[in-house]
Amino acid sequence: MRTTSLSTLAVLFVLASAATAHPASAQAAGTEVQSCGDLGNYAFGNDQVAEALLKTKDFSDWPEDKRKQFLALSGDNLPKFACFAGGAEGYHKFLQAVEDARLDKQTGAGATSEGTTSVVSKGFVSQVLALAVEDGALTRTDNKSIATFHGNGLGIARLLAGREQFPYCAIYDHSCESALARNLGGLSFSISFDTTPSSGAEPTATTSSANKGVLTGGPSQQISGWGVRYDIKAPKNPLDTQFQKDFTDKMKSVDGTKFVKSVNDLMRPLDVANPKAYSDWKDKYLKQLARVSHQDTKGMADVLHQAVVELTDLARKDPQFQTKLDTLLTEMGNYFGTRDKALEAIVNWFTGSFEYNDDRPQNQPSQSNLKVILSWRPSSSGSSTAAGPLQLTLNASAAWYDHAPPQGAVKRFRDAQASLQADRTLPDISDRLGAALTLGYYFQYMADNALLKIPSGNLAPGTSIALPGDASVLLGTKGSIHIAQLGVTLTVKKTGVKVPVTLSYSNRTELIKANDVRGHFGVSYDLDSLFAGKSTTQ
Amino acid sequence: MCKLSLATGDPVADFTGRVGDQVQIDVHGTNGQATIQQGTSYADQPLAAPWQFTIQAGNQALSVLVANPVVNDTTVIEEVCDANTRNTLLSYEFHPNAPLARFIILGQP
Repeated sequence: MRTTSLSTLAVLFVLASAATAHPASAQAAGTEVQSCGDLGNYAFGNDQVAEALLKTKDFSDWPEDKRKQFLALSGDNLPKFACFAGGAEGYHKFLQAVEDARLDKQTGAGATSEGTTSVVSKGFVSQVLALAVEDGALTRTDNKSIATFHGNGLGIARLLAGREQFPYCAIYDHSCESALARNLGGLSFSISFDTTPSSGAEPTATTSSANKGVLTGGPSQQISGWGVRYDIKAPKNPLDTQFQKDFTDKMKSVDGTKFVKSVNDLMRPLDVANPKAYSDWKDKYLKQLARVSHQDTKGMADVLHQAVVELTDLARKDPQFQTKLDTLLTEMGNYFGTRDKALEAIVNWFTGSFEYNDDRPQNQPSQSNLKVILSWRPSSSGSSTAAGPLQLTLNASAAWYDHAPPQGAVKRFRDAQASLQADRTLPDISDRLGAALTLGYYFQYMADNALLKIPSGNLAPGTSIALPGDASVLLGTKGSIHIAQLGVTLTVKKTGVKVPVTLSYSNRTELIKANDVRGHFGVSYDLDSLFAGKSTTQ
Repeated sequence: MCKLSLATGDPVADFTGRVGDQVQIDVHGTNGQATIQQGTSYADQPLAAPWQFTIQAGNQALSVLVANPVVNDTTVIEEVCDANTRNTLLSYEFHPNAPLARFIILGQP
């Protein structure tokens, strides 16, 4: 059967992706160069101070201060040393911290999918996979448990290519990723599975409230929907005066104290408290580099690799080295992620998304939905308050039935939708618990009465008349739907767990014309954070 | 008058200065508005604007956390000697993945 084949293939794909993401064994620290982003030419060496000299002059001809700075525990050498000493585990600890510090991700079914706590599809999706299990519906009348997987084109491509899937790029470093990576990064997909066991019961209609009776029965479908989406971003020009002013203002809220302290705590036993051993090391490699031609890139690489190996051995003489290193990687990731979060509001002047979803609601014909999403932040919002910035997200969409309804039943064009949502990050409740406030409004116009799919042989609502076809029309459902929603999302830091709690009011649902007040509760697990701590280079 | 001098011949120390002298630092970019960030410290003591510190004895680390909106912009960290004179401590291409510059300053009597 088609549905079974599709669901089997989908599950196999997800399992295969998860299996390739899981490391066979932990990478030994200090044996493989891990990249904490794009850091230049060699495993060690402060490229920042000598980029031009590296390409044009032998090390022996450099000014003394440049030679010393090239090997100093400063600039590029800090993340290079930390990532080398920390190995794969350390790098992933760094990525985990970056991920935790970033916000604004969607891990849930969109508004038109059965079972959702979110009225609006947001402007960001998880990078590789995210699993969301939610309970409750917004515009449907039946309640289901939906498990949704979101995937990203770039993350999947890197998984399959066996390369590191999460290299860090600062949010305003637009040259960091290739054009292909940027385009793949804008592509994402989702597939939702209905996790409710099928009751196997056939729908029946024997009472005056037949509509509701029919809707709560019937077989569930294993795949309840799927979708693809493409995100576009329009970055601002970094040379623009206003952008630079905004950048400076935003950076005032980013505190690097813990990051700098963690660096000094790790490096102090080397270059401050133990100058003799460090001096000997530095002297040795200053002399070795002076014997290598700048054109001998392999020779330079060998010397610098050996330099960082010996430096790591020297550093490990500190009995607290590993603890200090772990702290550094975490604080560095936290600083970078916090910086990205602060700058997110000003880096792009707008983001847009184009999304197609195919929904298969219970007891309704399958339908398609095309959506445009725009996201922006008012430039002056939240820049000087304890709360985070205000984000506004606007959606507009149209839906139609995948197959033409029975002749004369209803129009094939089903409905048009529009929604507006405001999100604001609140001050942290505690060191482990964050919160965000959401206020949303949703509007839907049903172009015609809703179409209900009832297998042949079943009774028309309220009668004993057997229905001749595979679909029937519910009367009196044409018209407008208004929904207002207020919610709070709690985030348990460093776990990838979020708990959205919302309260919504609607003047009716798609199929029943009556006021509806609902509370929704969900738990989402962001596999991005978990995979960022588990992925490996192969 | 500038208080910091290059530590010639010393593989560890970058600069030398006299114990007790007060030093002020600043930063500027070529195309970007580079700024010194909160977290900058000397001898493990956090600094605040206008980024001044007093030289202490022995080797001490000056850690300067920089932000520049233009990636790979040539950025200069300097000592503010007086209203008209600045002493370049470091000229480099700023990268957001490596925003922290550390200098070892040897304080001598």
